[in-house]
Amino acid sequence: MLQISDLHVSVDGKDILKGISLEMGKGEVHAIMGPNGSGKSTLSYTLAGRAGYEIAQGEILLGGVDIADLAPEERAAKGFFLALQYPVEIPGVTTMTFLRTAFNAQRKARGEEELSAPQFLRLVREKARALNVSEEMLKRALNVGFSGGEKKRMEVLQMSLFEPALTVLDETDSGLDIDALKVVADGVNALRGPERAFLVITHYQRLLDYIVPDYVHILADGRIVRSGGKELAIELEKKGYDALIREAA
Amino acid sequence: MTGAAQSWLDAALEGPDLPGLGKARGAAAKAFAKEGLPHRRMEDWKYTDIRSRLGEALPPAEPLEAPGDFLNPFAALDAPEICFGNGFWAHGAELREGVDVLTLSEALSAKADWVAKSLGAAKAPEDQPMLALNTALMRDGLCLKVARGLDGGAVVLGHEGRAGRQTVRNLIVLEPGARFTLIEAHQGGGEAQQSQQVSEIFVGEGAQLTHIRLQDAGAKTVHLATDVVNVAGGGDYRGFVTTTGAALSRQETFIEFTGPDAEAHISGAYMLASDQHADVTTRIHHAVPRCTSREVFKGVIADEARGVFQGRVIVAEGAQKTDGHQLNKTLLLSDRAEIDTKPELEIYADDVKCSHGAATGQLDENQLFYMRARGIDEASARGLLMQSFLAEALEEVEDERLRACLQGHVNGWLGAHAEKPGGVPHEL
Repeated sequence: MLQISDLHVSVDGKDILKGISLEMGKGEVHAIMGPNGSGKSTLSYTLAGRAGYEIAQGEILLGGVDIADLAPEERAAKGFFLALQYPVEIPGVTTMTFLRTAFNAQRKARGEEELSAPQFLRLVREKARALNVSEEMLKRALNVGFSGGEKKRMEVLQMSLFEPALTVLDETDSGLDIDALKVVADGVNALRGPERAFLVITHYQRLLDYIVPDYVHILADGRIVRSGGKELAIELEKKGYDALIREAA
Repeated sequence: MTGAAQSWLDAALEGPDLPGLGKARGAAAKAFAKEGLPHRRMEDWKYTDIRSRLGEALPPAEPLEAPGDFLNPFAALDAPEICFGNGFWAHGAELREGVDVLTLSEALSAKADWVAKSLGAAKAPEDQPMLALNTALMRDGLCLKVARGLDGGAVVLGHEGRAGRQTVRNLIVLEPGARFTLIEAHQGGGEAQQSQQVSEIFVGEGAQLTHIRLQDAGAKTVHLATDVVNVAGGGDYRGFVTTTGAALSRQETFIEFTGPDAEAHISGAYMLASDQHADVTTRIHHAVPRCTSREVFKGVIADEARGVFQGRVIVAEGAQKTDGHQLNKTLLLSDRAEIDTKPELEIYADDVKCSHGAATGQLDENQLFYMRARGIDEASARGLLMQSFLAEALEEVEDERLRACLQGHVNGWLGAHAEKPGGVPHEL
């Protein structure tokens, strides 16, 4: 599904990722855990294709295709989805307009038929109901005036609409209370299946109680220093980053 | 007097004149001759140099038999059309009974009472050389009166310019309690043109005028428009200006409240590219108590284009309970694009509520990335963000069908300038 090999990335001339290799199969859930400054967000933005994240070395294959030179919108159309830590507010664009524009843009890019307004409305309503997203939220400008929990639910709604093959959740748990966390986790778990992979990037083990990963990787100073099963997250919770990273060194 | 100013005054002497204007023309020419064309040492003209762009007067335009190129951007409204070609009356549909329509020359020949009473009578700021020049040179125009208490419906006033100097004077009179919608659409070809228009607008007691202007004049046109609006007690004026055309344009709106409890909204959207220069200058005079004014101007400026917004609000001593609000925001799409924004509040009363805001910015990289990461291509994302930026201004147009026509024009511009094939998404 996703193959990252020897990935080196710099931002503003500063090396942040220093040789990351990671292989994810279809339907797998991987967690990347790391302290602040270890390169977690750089990895997710690099995968999404954000400008300013320079790949100095290595490659990123999505479904066997090198995506390093693709624009963010092209990656999205190929089934890549990044759920952001801080979803962006877009005043003046209603949530519904945004969702439909994005949804149909992806379909069009894949050569699929676009959905008509009524068809799309039906689809959104069904998905929104499952995530407790109200009609009223859909009519408001995207993320404007939404609470932290509402913004994250909106990210999960988009994920469930686009049904991406690979979702990266970038610290989706930050700032969420336990109820909001459960909503997010339920949304992800509902979507888990043999065709969908998830990369859960987080600082804390808490989210992994709800989204149980198949593999856990520890990121430190731009490198993966240790990989293991879900028990690695529990070990990390007990020992802390410092001890674990020292052990690995 | 400079040679350029003389060329404009000489222009006044050509051809047969409209009847009954001798005295007014003479006085206006004298007033204009004092300073000639406005120059940049005049505070109101600091940012717009019309001397260098206007220079010598072009030869006067000839009437067009059939301004067939006029494409009504408001066709969806099914409103009657009146067309001017090169600044002269070309043709016009019947309006509702109780709406008097005359051309300026007809009105002067017939010595219509209401025209004689109102023409040149609108209260305006002192020392306006371009108002004087218009009086000295005016050739034709629309005189329209809506009878007391009547809902006169709407009219689309189309202006198709082809070449030369066009000087138009309109007179719009709403008697007490009347309602009307005046929609102007200015278009034109690529020949050099100087188009100057003054509209004197009287909104009677308790009357309401919606006044839309879509300025999409030709690429070599200098377009100067001045609306002098007098709003009587309890009257309501709703103006909206969309600017996409002309090499150099200046839209002046002078609002004078002549009675209490009146309201004026003047808003607009400007979209400029290449080396266009567009100036929006407003002056709202709260001379009497309890009037409300509101301005929302937003713009998008690309390439080396330049915008100017000057918004003056004067609250006279004794104009208590005035409520004034002004907002001007601009997106600059290139490093060389420029906006000069100058809010000026002069408040001489103590029990008033006045606010103003001005901001300039660029498209937000976070928003662009977010939209692209969700599958929207860059040009569409840019278009959508610009559209949403301008929405705050367009929402000032209350009538949905009218707003949809303007939105269509705006989207057309954005589609052409956000570099996206097929334009931007249409519903918002």
